[in-house]
Amino acid sequence: MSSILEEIETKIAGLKTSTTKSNVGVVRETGDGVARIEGLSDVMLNEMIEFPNGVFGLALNLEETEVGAILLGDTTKVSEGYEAKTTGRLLSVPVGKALLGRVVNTLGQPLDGKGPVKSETFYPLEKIAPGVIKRKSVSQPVQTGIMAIDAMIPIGRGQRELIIGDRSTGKTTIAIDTIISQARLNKAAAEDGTRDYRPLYCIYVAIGQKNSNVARALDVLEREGAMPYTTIISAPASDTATNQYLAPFAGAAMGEWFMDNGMDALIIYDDLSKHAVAYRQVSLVLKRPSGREAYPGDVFYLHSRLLERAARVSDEFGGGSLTA
Amino acid sequence: MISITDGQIYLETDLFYQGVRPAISVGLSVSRVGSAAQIKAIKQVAGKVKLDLAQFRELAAFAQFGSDLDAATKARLDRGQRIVELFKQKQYNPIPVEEQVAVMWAMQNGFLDDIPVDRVKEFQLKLQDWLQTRKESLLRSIRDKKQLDQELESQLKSTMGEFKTTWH
Repeated sequence: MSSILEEIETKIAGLKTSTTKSNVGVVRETGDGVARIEGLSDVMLNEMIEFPNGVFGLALNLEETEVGAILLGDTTKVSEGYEAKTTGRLLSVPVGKALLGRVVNTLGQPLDGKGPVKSETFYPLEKIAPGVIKRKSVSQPVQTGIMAIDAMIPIGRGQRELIIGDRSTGKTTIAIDTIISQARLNKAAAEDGTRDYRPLYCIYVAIGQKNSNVARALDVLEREGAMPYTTIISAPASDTATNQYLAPFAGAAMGEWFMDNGMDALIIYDDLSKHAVAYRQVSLVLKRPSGREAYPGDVFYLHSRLLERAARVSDEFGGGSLTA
Repeated sequence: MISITDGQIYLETDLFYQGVRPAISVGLSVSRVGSAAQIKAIKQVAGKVKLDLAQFRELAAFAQFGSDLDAATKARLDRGQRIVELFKQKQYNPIPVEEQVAVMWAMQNGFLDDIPVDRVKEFQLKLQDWLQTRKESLLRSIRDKKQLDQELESQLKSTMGEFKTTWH
């Protein structure tokens, strides 16, 4: 009898209890690429939420009793009653030179079949734009190679220039021409060994484009030898609205890496009206109040936030630039 | 949307179908900060272009009604037509800045005035080709100096003269 008691006592003494604290909620409703989660407390805005099956969500709506999250990846793998955990992380994408010459999706995963992206640095998608002290006025040109633009509407590094016009009037062509021109300049400077020339890396973000158009742009850039200096982020029309909505932010994060490391980058968002449409869809399924043409009230803030991230940072901070 | 950027490039459908490609509308396109970043050489040759073009558009609309034009107006119209021709550019064919400077210098200094408008493009392409193959050193010095001084201008002048003798 006593031996049993002793045994129990030793077992109790040897028992190690450990608790891990995690915030867990339950999926109450899912559909349209959005999950509503109940009982999840301490969630940050834009925090990643983990679901079983390795699917992640992004918390966009924090309400009194529930959280509205958009789903990244396969939305069919999440169903009602699933557990949802907060991760304490913000959505990040790989950045760095390893991305040059690649075609990736919104999350930085390769789409070109050239193996995984070898990058060790990650940047969060949302970042506060550089402040007043960090900035410097635009002083270096972006040579587009288009005479009418270079002569009359010159563009500087760190500038934000909008290309507007009706459909098929050559907006994309101007963008692609500019990339090709940069690639030629970069190559010529590398061959000459010109030391004071700063190469301009290009990021082309295709939002809601037809896959065939992206393929055509890729084909042209490859033929002209521009891909070694270029990253393409593709969120085609067939992609979820979530990915289309996040793609330009991913591009901005990748561009910011160049800027922070004292290099220059050019980023092209093609096009922002499709981005606004994707954001409208996300907002409507999250049941946010809508304004004119059903666009949510903060659609302009969305774009100004994005474009403010283009900057010419002064030399003390590396002297990089990001042109949009 | 426009107010949150540093300028816009406006593309017009009408221009596009008139064959002016890229169909950039000069009046509606602006760049608020870019001119600070332009290299000096291109500023020297392109300073007046925007004004010339704006005047040309105004006059062109006006000149449709009258046939008797004084010499100054006619010269301005001719110049404008040639600028429009020069700015037409093929897809995927960016022009290096030093060649832009050379071509625009030729235009500003009247070397294109006796070329028929429909052959301006041809003249430009041949000139660029010729500069690339024969006058590489001139292009290089424009690129390195980044501005046109008297020496370069006289070199450009003799080069253009030389080229025109080979042009038919």
